[in-house]
Amino acid sequence: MSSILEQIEKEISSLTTETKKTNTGTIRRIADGVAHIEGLSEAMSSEMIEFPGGLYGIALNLEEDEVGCVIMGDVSGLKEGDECKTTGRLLSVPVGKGLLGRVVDVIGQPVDGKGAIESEEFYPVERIAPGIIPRKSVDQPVQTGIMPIDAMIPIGRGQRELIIGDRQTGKTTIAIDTIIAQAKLNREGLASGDESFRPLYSIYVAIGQKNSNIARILKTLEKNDALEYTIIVAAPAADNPTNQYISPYSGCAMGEWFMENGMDALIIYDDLSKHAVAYRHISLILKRPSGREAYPGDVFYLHSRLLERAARLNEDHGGGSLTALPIIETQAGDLSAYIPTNVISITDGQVFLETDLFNQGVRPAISVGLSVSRVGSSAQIKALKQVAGSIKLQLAQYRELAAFAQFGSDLDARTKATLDRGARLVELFKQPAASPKPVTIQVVILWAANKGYFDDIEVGNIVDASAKLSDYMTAQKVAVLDKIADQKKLDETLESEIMEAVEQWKAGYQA
Amino acid sequence: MSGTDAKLHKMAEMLAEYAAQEGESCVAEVVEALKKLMEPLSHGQRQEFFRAFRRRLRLKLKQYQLNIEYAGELSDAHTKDLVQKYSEKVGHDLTPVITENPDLISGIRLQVGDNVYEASLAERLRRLSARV
Repeated sequence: MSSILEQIEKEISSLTTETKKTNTGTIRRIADGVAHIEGLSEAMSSEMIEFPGGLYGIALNLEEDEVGCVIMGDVSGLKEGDECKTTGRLLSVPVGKGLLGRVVDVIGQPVDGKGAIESEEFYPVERIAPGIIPRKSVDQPVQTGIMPIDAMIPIGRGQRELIIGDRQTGKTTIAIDTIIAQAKLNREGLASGDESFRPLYSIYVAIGQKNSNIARILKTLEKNDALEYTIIVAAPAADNPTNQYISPYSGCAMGEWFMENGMDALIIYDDLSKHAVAYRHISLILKRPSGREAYPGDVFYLHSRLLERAARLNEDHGGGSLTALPIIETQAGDLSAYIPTNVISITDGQVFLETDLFNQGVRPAISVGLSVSRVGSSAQIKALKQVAGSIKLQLAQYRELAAFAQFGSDLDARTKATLDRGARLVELFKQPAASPKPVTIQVVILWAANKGYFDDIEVGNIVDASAKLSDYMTAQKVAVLDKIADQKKLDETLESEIMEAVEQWKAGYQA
Repeated sequence: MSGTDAKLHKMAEMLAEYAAQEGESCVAEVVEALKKLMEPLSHGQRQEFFRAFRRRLRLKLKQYQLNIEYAGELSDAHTKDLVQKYSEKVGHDLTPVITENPDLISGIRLQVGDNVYEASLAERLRRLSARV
């Protein structure tokens, strides 16, 4: 009680008596979360506008005699004639480690019922992306724990890698699995006492998602002990378009705090298709000219300015990074639609998920031919590069030959060998959700596959064999795995140790 | 905005400025000018022009008025002083509109155009409650 009184006394003593100047306006029209305001002659672009009832909006359209403003929150209490005023501030969100393990809304307020968030710093949601000078090339990997990605489409810290595919193809699962893998690595790394270990914190931004989906994701993260390294920014489908429009920028500001303080963060925008739709909604109500598919002309800039904020900073600027995994939902696999092509051109590669593969039981349903990582290979550890180098090519050859092999039964020995190896590789890359594979295990499995240790195992037993090899290595050959982790590349000695371990496993293997 | 629309908006702006400056004495003159200006226009253009005129007049009138809300006492000398000071500030004469507002608890709230200047107890309490 006394502390409250002390605080009030302190605040009273610091209150100044000067006249306060504000710039005001009057709502002339209001619909669908967008208000047209007469007045506000001194409003700045993107300035926060205060409305009655503690509501805030953002000035988006500054016209000669009117200001178009998007309002955050429940607008049902606002009406024509209500007065609003400028605040002189840009929309800011709390940032810092106090947000980890929490679910927050678009302005960083907790929505998980776990009490107030301890945070002393605020970052504006809209910021200019780092320029050329503070940046550095991507050189450290993000271990997703998903074997086809780590082996063939490696992602580096600071990279922007798009996850794209139709509905129900496992896009969110890849993102969540990546978060789970990071949490696992963070726990192991921090427990090892290795001072050079850099934990990777995750931010999941749910844009226009169903509340039930967000609850499911939250539960999955809690179940896998990943929530303590994760911030969830929720702008569900029930939220107004303004919140959905701003949420990725809010999440990005939270991620930037980690990056600018020399730490590494990963941000997932799930998904930017819905984000573009929310922005189109707002733009049409603001009467901005519409273009292709009724999107406004600046829809490219909407995403480019967001994704450019993901970067790897050089040592002079703390050496932090922000990796972005935006998600885009395609319609009937159409990659050439407006928003997918925009985001493909902005990002440093894409992981393309195919409905057909998903339905065939290939999960994750990654299309190797259409997926690419433009910068990640320089971040991939050398050992993985050594064993995975030819796999993408082998799989591409398999897909091509498999299509032709359907029409005939007489195949030459070489074609048959390519098909057999390909079918086994496809099986090896199958992986259930929420079960990340450590990179050392990936190296051993791929080494064994390259050397033909899976060739005499029935295709239907490959998943089981791979799991058994993984268990064997973890239980019996920890020293070999540790050596791979330490050396990060395969030399003759290490290869012979791996061979010995794999042969021992093979000798005792029974399907 | 097309060239014709821009011209209409410019005319509406000038007429609103004149009406706000001259006050009630020019009502008949402004009505006559409006009629003449709107005569050659199509129905749609008339509507657009009149809407623009009305909006601009509303804004201009606000700029030529000094709304004074007060709680407690406000002497004539003080009012005169305020009008003179704010007229100098905005660069033209202001017409005072005085209202007593007990919600301020004590103090004064002035409005010229969009700008509000407040030195009231209610405003300070609002600031205090926001900070505590």
